Amino acid sequence: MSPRGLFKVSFRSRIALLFILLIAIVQGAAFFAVLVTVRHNIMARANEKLQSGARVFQQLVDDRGAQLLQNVRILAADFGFKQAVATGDTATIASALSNHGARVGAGVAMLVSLDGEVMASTLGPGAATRSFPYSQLLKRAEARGDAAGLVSLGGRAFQLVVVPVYAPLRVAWVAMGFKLNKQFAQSLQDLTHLNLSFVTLGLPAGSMRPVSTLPPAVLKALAARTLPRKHIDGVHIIRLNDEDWLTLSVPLLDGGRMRALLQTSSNAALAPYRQVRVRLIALSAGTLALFILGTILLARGVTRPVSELVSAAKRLGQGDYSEPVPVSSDELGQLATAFNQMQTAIGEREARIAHQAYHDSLTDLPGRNLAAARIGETMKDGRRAAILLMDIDRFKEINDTLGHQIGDQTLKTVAERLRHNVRDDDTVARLGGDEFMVLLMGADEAGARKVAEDLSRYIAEPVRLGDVTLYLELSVGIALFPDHGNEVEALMRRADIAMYDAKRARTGAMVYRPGRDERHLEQLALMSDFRRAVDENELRIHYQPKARLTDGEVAEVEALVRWEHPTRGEIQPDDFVPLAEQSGNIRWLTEWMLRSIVVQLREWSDAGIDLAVAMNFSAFDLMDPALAEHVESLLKLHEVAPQRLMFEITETAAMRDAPTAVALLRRLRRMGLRIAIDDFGTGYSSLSQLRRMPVDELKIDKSLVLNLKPDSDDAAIVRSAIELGHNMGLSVIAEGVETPESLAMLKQYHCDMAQGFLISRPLPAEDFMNWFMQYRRRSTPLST
Amino acid sequence: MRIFGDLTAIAVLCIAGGAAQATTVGVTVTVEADGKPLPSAVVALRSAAGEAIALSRRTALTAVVDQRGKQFVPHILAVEVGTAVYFPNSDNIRHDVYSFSPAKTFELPLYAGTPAKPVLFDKAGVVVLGCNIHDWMLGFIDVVPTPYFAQTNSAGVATISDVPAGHYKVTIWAPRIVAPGHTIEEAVDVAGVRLTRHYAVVLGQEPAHMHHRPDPSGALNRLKQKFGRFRQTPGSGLPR
Repeated sequence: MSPRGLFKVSFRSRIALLFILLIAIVQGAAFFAVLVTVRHNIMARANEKLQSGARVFQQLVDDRGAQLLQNVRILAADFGFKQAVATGDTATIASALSNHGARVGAGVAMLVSLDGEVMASTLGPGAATRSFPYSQLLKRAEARGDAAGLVSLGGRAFQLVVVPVYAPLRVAWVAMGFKLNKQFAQSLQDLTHLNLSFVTLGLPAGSMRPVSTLPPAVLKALAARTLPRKHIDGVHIIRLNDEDWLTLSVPLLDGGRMRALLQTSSNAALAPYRQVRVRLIALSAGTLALFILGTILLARGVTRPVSELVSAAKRLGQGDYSEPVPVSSDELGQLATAFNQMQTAIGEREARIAHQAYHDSLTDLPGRNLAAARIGETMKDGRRAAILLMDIDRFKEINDTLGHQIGDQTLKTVAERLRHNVRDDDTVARLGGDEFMVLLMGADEAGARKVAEDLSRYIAEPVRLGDVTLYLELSVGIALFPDHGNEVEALMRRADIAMYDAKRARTGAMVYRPGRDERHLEQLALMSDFRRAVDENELRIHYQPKARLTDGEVAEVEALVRWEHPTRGEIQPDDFVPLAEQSGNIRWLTEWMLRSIVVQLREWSDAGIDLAVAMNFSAFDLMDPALAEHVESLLKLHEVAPQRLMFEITETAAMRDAPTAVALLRRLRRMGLRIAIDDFGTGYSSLSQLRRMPVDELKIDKSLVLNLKPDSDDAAIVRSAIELGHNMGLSVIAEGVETPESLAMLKQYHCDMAQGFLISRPLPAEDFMNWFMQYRRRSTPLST
Repeated sequence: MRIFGDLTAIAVLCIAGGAAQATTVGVTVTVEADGKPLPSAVVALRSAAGEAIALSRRTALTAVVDQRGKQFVPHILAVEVGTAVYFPNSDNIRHDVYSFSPAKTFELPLYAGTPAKPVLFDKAGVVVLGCNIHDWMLGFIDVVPTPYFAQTNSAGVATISDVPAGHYKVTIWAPRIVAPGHTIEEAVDVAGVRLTRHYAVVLGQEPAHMHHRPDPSGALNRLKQKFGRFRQTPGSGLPR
């Protein structure tokens, strides 16, 4: 899990949360917008209702004022009253005020001078000394003739009317106040459905006897309330008994603290609003719930196929291509289909790649790796097994002479035959080139040998490819598990060693001999040293003379290479030349020897000694087409006559790659070099082949000469060989001459030359020179 | 000549020479605002401080204030102290003339024609006349304690003749003059030559009385008609 894992929310949850959040925001916004608008409209309408109620209230007051004015005007026009006023008859004035006031239903009546002094009042003589408190009303009366207005008087609301007294000029004012009673308030409520109350600001309404249409409980609450003295006029909301009252406060004319309150319950006004709100909440909640449900379903629909794809991808990553993803019909289904196709394709491709990796493409047999794996499995099971490692003898010749197509066909045929002749639980593998392996389950040495022979026999059946018929031979190396090792690597190496041994011994099949591997490893180490040997000048050339039997003269020597190994001492060519041949280092050796010999020839020639040197050619040298040119340029460089150089070629080498070898030898001979067949008598060369070879000399193998005794088989062979050589016009030389008897017999058979310890062992150049000088001084050479 | 600050008039007093000691005084009164003549203003030469003026030698001084077309004619009358004023009724309806003025309080109860007895004005001062039947009727009698007085004519000119030389106080009164007691005054010397004075006066509102009261009933009635239906609402406790 990633470090963010703590906060990881699934894709599904995120989709769901996002959508739910969005819809909640939209719903909430719509909800509040509608509510605010509705509430605003309702409050605006309530406000309008209040304002129009206020206008009706004003109209009612005005109408009542006009009526009252009319009544009071009649009173002020009374002549007797005028007379009393004009003459300052205060007693009469007071009685007239009270009398007339009672007549029109006034609560209070006053006579006010033009200067605004109260001259008489029904409130008592004390009031008469004061100035009239409602100067605003007087001003209005002066401007308009008379005036009416709402005032507070003694904590109660009055409608006060002011009318002039004319005598005939205006001499005074009559002011009469009429209580605003519940009836008046009721009439307003009847008209407007608004409640009307008269209250004094800053005082608890309970301290007076309020006039109001409010329900008693609300009125009680209002009465217990001290309204602020400022900022009260206009529309505002007063909370009474848990109910909001939309209130319009109208000041009275006297500028005092009494107010007429027009009120409507906002509860009543907001009732439709609350209804809308409840419905809206229900609607929003319902929509939100539906949306949440839908979103969750949708999210699940999207994410379930995705998580299926995820687990399928994980299986795919683990190499499981078997289980397909369920496919739905939508876009994700298309993705799943593509996914399944990909899964199948990857599976097939992987199988193919794996097959190619473990199988040889030409024969479709398991390759080296798979073969090793099979061996490993077998070893794990603890079962006996035999490993047969084999290659086709001289397959390289087939490839080189008949072409790769034939070579490939041959390999296929071999593979086919091997496969068809083992059991099903055995394994046939191609390790590379012409190298095959058969793993036999449960086989012991005898069984393995038997199978190897059988297989060799099957392979030996002629192979017909078009007009070519090939006869193949197998070399088989056998290693047994657990006898020859319990490691795959070791087993295969030992089988390989056995195979090479078989090839060298030409025995067809060979079982690994314990100890061989150590020698093989030693040889390998030696091989790695060999390159160094050339560079470090560890190689030496020894020369062994060849003596003419007729007069004992030595005109030729054989050059033999020696390796003075710094730690192992002197190593014989038989021990390292085959290795050099196998490892491809023979070319270096040949080159080195050629150069050394030519240089030696030059020295001897300069010293006035006319000797010819014979050098051994390996089969590999014979396949190097550039060799002839190289020899020629070397001879020219050191100004050595070609007749002084001679090549010895083993019989088998000469026969192995006949056409190439013959061409090379012919060319060398044309240059003036001489050619000898070495080890004659050990091979199987036919006489017709021998006839075609461009050679000058036959060299009878020392195995025939060493124990040469009269009347022995060897003697017959040697004698026949000498005669054969002479008959073919070749000179004949015998090597391995160690006894005077053999020398005598050779003389008797008219052998041309002899070589061996009897004459001299191979000597380093300087030693040889000493020997040679001594030898020439002898009077009777090779005396028997 | 500035007499009363902002409200004063500029007066030119011309005293023209007459026979021996007596001469004629001509006073012109105009309205300051538009320069038009002010008619009916009462111009009187009153005694200056420390000097007495002999009243008229005539024995029976009389004057008449007629009532015609429900108006007092003249609207303003100047009389010398001791003048008997007759109040004939030239209308075919009755009037009830009265005054509550301190200079003369009286009432002529409802009458038609000319009452037998005149009303004697024996105290100086302005007497406001009214009619108890017709509230808007309004008249003034300025009772002056001097024989040297006159009222301006339609050209705003008052001519007082046979004025003996001496120190006087010229007073000019009209109900609309804006001044204490609606009067402006100036001390003058009359010295045998014709004296001509010109006063420009500031006029105010008509004195408050019923005729000048703006009648709000027109508007009131219209409103009553308009909102009549409200007033028909049952339960209305408005006093009728």
